[in-house]
Amino acid sequence: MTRTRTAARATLRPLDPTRIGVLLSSINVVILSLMALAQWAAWGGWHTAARLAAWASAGEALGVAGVNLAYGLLIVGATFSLRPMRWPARALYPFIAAVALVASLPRVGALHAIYSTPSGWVFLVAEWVSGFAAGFLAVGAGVLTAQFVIRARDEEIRRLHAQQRAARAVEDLQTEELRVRRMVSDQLHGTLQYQLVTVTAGLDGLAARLAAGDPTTSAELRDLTERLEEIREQEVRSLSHAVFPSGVDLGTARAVEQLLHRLPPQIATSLDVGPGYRRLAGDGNPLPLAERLVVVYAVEEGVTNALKHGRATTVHVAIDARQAGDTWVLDVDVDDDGTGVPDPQPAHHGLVRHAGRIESRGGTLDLGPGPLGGARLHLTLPFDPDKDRALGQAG
Amino acid sequence: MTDQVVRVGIVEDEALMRGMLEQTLSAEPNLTVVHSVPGVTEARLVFTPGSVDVALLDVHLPDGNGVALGVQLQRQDPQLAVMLLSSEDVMGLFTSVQADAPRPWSYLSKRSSFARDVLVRAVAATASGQVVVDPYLVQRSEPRGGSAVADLTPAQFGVLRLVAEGLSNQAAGERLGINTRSVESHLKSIYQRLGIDGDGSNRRVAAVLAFIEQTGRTWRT
Repeated sequence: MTRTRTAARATLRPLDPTRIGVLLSSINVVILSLMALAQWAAWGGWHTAARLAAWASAGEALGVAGVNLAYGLLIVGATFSLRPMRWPARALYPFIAAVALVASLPRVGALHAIYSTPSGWVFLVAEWVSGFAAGFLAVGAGVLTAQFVIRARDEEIRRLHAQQRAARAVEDLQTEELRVRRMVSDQLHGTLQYQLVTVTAGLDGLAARLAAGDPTTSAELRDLTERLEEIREQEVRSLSHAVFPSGVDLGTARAVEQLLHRLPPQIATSLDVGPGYRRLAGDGNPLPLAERLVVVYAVEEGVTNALKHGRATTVHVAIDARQAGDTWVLDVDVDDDGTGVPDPQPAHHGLVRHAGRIESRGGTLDLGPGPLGGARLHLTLPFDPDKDRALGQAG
Repeated sequence: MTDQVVRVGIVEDEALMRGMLEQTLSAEPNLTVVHSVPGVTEARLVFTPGSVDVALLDVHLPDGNGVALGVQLQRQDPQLAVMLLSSEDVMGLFTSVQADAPRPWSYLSKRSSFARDVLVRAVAATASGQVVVDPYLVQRSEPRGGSAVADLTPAQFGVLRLVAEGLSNQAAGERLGINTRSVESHLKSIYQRLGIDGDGSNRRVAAVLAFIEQTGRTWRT
């Protein structure tokens, strides 16, 4: 559902740099050759031709314009055949200059062939140099303009995607809030109340037998207190965890460690916290709280799937952070030795929900085969270590 | 255990619980409650370095987290012993904190802290540099699969459990119905199997930390 919504909204496509470059450079080249023709007419060429009825000179002017146009298009064609738009400027512009330098030689040759063109060496060299300069400027300016246009479009697309992600995050947040509310309510009304009712009934029965002087009641009483303890530890804790996971205010790694520690003792667990995360964490807690929650819940889902569906007996989690440009990215791997990713992959609704939340924050979530023989859940999540610090919430 | 009176500071937001702790600990001749506050903010003001021997910290506090508070207080006062209190099992949190803390912490569940002798013994043992883990959770603990603790014999694991509860060798021997020398010999094998070296009390602490890290608890679902 999320994907279709995104597709419908993403109406802006990135521009093809070569097409835009060819278009703008060609326009420059056409304008340049038309300008040369207009110049000929304005500087008396047309007047003289009309007065002397020397129409051959008008034909020559058209020939010169044609040569210029062909020359310009030759540079455009040769330049863009190599699709150089993504090249760095220090390679791109010398390349255009080299093409113009070579292509301007046949241009001088063609001009020389036109009858009334002067043929002195000085003229030929001057014409070669000015032709080279005009061709280089026409195509170079076209390329430069095309790059501005493409950059503006890329920026617009980036902004649009950011807006879409923000909108999706808000929607996901609302959906998530409703889901948690429903879950907490179901658990309160269902499991917890039922368990408490059975313990209360047991206590009632015991009270009656105590009144009748039954000596076996103390063991049963102890069993009931044990059951109350289990209800508190399991049911109440899981409700509290659904609303806010234990240890998440102390950091991502600590919350994950607490999560692993809570797994039944039959499951072998280990946690690797990488040097990047350690260095960044220092005394504080690099991940903003919102991202921390997303990561902890996704890891929990991965671990639950490994144990429930994959019947794993070993779970290994690795957490690290790395810098990517001017942002940071958290990398988490959840490996298990279970039955691996089933083929065809079933729709694990939980995981799809987490993937949506992670993607709406610019991250990724993938499930594939892992090095322990079971599955590997790999998640990446970009984050800004200073976000909570700026809000005074880093802990 | 020290002969001096142990000064205790309490940080607990629930007034009834706080009152109960104050009352129980003040009634002991070798313990005195010097601070009793409901939150992180107040604790930061009154827990001045050198004024408290043992800090009893609730994990969930309205204005912050007892774990983070403990790390902060202990950095200001490395002599301060910390004992966490929590209604739920936070052994996992407790494990990773040990790595950052200047001196190891103890942990008691609120349920156990209602038992006077357990509470008093845990506070006194913590003050003398031992690590004490909640006896109820210790009794429910099983070795985690694939860990070094899982390689201990049942008898060795039984001894380690009681050491984790904060019992002396003599008390552990009495509980198990064996003599103190057998407890000592079990402990030697435990240190060896867990790869722990160093001197007496450090080894004991290291063994308890290994116990915390390499065990888990099963709950009926």
